[in-house]
Amino acid sequence: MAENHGMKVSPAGSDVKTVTDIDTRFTSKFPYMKVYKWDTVSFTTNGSGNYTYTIPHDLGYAPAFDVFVKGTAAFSFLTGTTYPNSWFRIGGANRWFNQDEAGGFFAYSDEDNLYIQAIDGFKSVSITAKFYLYVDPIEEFTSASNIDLTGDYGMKVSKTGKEVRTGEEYDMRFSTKYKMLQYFKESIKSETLTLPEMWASFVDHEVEEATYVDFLHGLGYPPLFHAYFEPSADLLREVPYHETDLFYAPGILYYDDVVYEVSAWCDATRIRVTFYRRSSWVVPDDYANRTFSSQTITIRVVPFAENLEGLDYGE
Amino acid sequence: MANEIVLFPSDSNDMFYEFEGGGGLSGTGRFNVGYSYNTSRKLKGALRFRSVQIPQGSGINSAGISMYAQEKVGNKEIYVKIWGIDEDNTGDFGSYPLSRTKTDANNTHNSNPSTGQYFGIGCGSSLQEIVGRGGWSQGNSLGFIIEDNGTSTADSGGYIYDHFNDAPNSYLEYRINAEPNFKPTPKEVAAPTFPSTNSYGMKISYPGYDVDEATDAQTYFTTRKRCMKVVAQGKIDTTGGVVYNIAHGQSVKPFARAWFKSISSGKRYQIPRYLPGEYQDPDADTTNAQIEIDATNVKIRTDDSTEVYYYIYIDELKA
Repeated sequence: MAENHGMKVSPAGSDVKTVTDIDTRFTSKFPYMKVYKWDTVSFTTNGSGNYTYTIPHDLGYAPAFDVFVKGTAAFSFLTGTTYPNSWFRIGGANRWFNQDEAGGFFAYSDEDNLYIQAIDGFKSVSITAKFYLYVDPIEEFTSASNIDLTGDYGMKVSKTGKEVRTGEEYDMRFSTKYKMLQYFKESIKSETLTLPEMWASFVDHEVEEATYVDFLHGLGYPPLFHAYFEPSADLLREVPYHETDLFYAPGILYYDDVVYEVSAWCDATRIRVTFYRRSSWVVPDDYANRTFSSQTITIRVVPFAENLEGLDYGE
Repeated sequence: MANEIVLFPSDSNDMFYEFEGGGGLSGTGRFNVGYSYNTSRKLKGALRFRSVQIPQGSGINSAGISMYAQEKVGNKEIYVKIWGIDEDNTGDFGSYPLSRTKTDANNTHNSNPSTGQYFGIGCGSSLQEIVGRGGWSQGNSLGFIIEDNGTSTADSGGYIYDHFNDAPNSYLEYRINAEPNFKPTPKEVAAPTFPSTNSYGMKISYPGYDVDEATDAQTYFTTRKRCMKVVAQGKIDTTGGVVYNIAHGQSVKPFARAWFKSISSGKRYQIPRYLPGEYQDPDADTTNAQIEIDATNVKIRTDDSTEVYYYIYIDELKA
């Protein structure tokens, strides 16, 4: 719905009265995601590779969040080079972080806490993670939040119909009380990756193929990012993306060695997005497996200007 | 593997079968191997492949014959042994093939395929022996003899057959002087040029930092950069395995995010989420969840029926 009131900032050289919503640098017409708390945390997994780190919040509802985990990127199939101080988004297997796919990291929130959990993966290892907790809920919530409404200075814009002085924080479209995750339009880039036709056979029981693209982000620090890929025209999938064929074969309870994966990580120089496929021929029972057709995917990355190793909340 | 060469028999005279003991049960156009428990006879066969483009003396990385069970008779394992036909350019099977000289190299294998399945046996050493012959030339024909390995009995028998006229057929697959895996050359996209800093616009610094001097890393907000603007948000109830479409109403594919509710704990997980293999998440559920965006919809799929909360933004994912 068009609004002819409120506040709007156009980019330099554009008429603020006619600039499109997409190009508008700021407008009170739309809500923004507001970062409530962010921090770098460390913990050590136990001998089984498990640990749950709990971050309390006082929002009273499950909030949106982002969690990245720090580690050394390595994938010997493609290169002997390793990349310390790399950051991985939680959500799926990543060939560069956890090559055997065993276990992994999870993040989840509820009305009391954000949780970062390691499970069945890295044993007795120190883990560093960066989290961002948003004011914005990820469940329906209309009650009073526990969040402190203090701060009677600055600027805030409430949603239509909400009282700006007494409204809940999650009802604010914008508030200078909270941090915004921002990006440069110039940072959004795309590139294609192609993998040739491939299948496993009796001749080659397990075959792999992979390639990657490095998006040099020019920021000088590891940025918070999102990555997407187009497996076909006009369809975007968010990364990490991971398919595993899981089936029963005699003598092998579960066989899951057929993988299609698009994953990403970043460091201070690049965002690397990798396209990986693996097919297997199950022996000794001779079960043929998947044939992958030649495929070109288009990768799109959205690097935010947020430094994953930057100042933490309150610093 | 795409680095492999696959060859099929190209004529009915490239396939041969025989029931041990004769009696007219032999001929071309068909391939058998195994043991017939009805007749207590072993079956043997031969396969021939034409125009084999392997230079003389080439190194064979690996090779195998995948035998197709157009029908599997009996439910027991098949025990087979394979030799190459030790000739420079073996002729078609219009003349009897099973008495031809065999390679020294051979291989054995046992398997229990079902009707409609392939089962394979390695033949790399036999193939190496053939193409290593002084008289072998690229483009010649070669063949293999495949027999019961001698251990089958009436209690253990089973056999397959494969008719030339009922494709698919058994085939030879080999790889020479090539890597089995692919690693296409990686790419690199150059860093962007960022807009210069401005002395106008709006900027909010961290508490305690002078807004005039605050670096980008010390700002909550600046109009020098963009933010994702939320154009829609809300809750949906998904059905397990069914894609839920949320019309985004934009002329471009927008940025979108979503979180789902665990069906066991009620905690909220970000989408996408992919569980590795048979592993379970901390809540002992096995929900995978994906998010996709096309020209019309934000598409969300969860393995289990659950609740999803989504945000759709107005900023497009254009390059």
